[in-house]
Amino acid sequence: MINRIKIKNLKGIKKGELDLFPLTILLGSNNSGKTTILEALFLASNPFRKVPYFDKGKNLLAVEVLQLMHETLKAEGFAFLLHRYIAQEAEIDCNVNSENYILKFIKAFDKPYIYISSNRKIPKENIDIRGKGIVPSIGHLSLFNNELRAYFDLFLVDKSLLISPNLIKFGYNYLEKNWASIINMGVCRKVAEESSTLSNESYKDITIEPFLGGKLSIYAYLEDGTRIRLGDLGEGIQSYIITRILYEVEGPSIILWDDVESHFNPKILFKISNWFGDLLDEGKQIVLTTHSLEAARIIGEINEEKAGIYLINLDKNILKTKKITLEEIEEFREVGIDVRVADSMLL
Amino acid sequence: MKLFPLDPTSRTASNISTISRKIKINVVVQSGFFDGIAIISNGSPDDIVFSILSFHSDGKEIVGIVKPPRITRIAVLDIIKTYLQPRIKKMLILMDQEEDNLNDIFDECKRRLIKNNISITKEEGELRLKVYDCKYVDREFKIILVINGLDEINVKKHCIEDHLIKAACLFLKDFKPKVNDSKKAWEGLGKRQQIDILRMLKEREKEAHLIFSQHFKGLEYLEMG
Repeated sequence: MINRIKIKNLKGIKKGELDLFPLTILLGSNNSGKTTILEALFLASNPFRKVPYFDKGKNLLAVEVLQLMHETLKAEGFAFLLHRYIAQEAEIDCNVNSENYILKFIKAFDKPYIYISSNRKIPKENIDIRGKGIVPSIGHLSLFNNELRAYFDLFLVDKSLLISPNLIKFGYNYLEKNWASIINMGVCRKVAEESSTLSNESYKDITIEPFLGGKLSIYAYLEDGTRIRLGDLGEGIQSYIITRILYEVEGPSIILWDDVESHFNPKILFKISNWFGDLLDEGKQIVLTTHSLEAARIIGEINEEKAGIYLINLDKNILKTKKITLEEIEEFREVGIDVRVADSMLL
Repeated sequence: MKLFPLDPTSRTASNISTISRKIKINVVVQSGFFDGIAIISNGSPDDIVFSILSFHSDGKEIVGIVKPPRITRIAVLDIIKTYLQPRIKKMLILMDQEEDNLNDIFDECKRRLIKNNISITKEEGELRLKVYDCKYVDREFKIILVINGLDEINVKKHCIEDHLIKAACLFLKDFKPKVNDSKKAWEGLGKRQQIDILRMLKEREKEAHLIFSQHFKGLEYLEMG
């Protein structure tokens, strides 16, 4: 489990740190740094590892997923990882069992690259960067285009899965391209049956078959033998099914979920919170962001002993945090304060 | 002065936002840091009036604004500790006088502060305005108590509508309130005339200062560094 994360010059966060719990819920305004914290944790395992998302003809690497999430028009490159695009170095420091795992993103002066370095005793390639000397590096990212190169493939901290409404379509693509191996894992029937409790229909299995016109599509098989395309189900049920399959395929120790309430009514949120309860019992770690007090309450109550809720915001790009309990949220609500918007007063 | 509603889904936030659009006072903000809060203990139209007065309080200072749900008047003093977050240095409480004697209100306020372990280190003010320098554990802060009501309006229960009725007498030709109750007199005006009066309060700053003198003095304390 990651006990603490420190971030320097990563995206919108110039400096910040946060203690993590088995279940950490991040509440805050838009642009308060919530997603950046998840992304830092996602990169911490290894920015160059393959993750269960597919786009542009290939299985994506973790850092490519972030690039896609932040794609703006046709701009390429990984400079977006560096604070204000100009910071010379960014750093993600995860504390795991009293040991610090530091990942550095170092911009070279003489080459158009960001070199990734780690403090762990792992295979590295020594790169001579002008002004920095010899930097032991595990790979590099281009500043100006999508070129990247991993020198070694390994895990630095526990493997994490990032879930976001923006990534569902890449999850779909991954399922299609890797269906043969996924079907052999036998997870689809289990996920289909569990998803049945979310709607009035009873799903028995999930398959990929040609749709009218011959092109492949993902289907949920109903009890009566008929089938329905996943894309024709409600967004919430689709998200739940895709996430559950990706989780089973990837087997992460840490789940990072951005905007957990997106597309979900309380019934699905309740189902997800029960799933989270099972994951916590299995020793998994969950970090999620939400704008919804209802979601924070439903999920936070599933295991209050293991949960930590934070109110977060950025003040001049410095991360401000306040640990807050469900009782305090209720107490503030009683006097007319919505903690999600009054963060500038509370932090 | 800019107002930051502490709950954007509250009736108060909606009232302020609506009046801001209708009479074009740009007072609502939804970001920024602040060290003062205005607690509108009696709800509406106090929140609407307060936003117009804030418009006249020139300057860019941001103040949080809140109407505590289910709690009115002096009872808000029992919950102010929840508002007393590290940044907060000043709290303005706006409340109706109703039928109470002013000294009784101030005495009751002091009694409630003491009951909540808040000590008063200094006190100043005038007829319907009191400013208390307070201390709670190691926190020092100001409570600015502004009481709605005007002696010249001959009613049993004094409230913010006393001031609005005075404004109506000043701005509307031949307006003579027929009832001995300023709330009823204000309600009797109808929406269109109410908006006209509020608009004139926005446009005629000098008169607004005369009608809401204790409020403007209270706002000055709230804006002080």
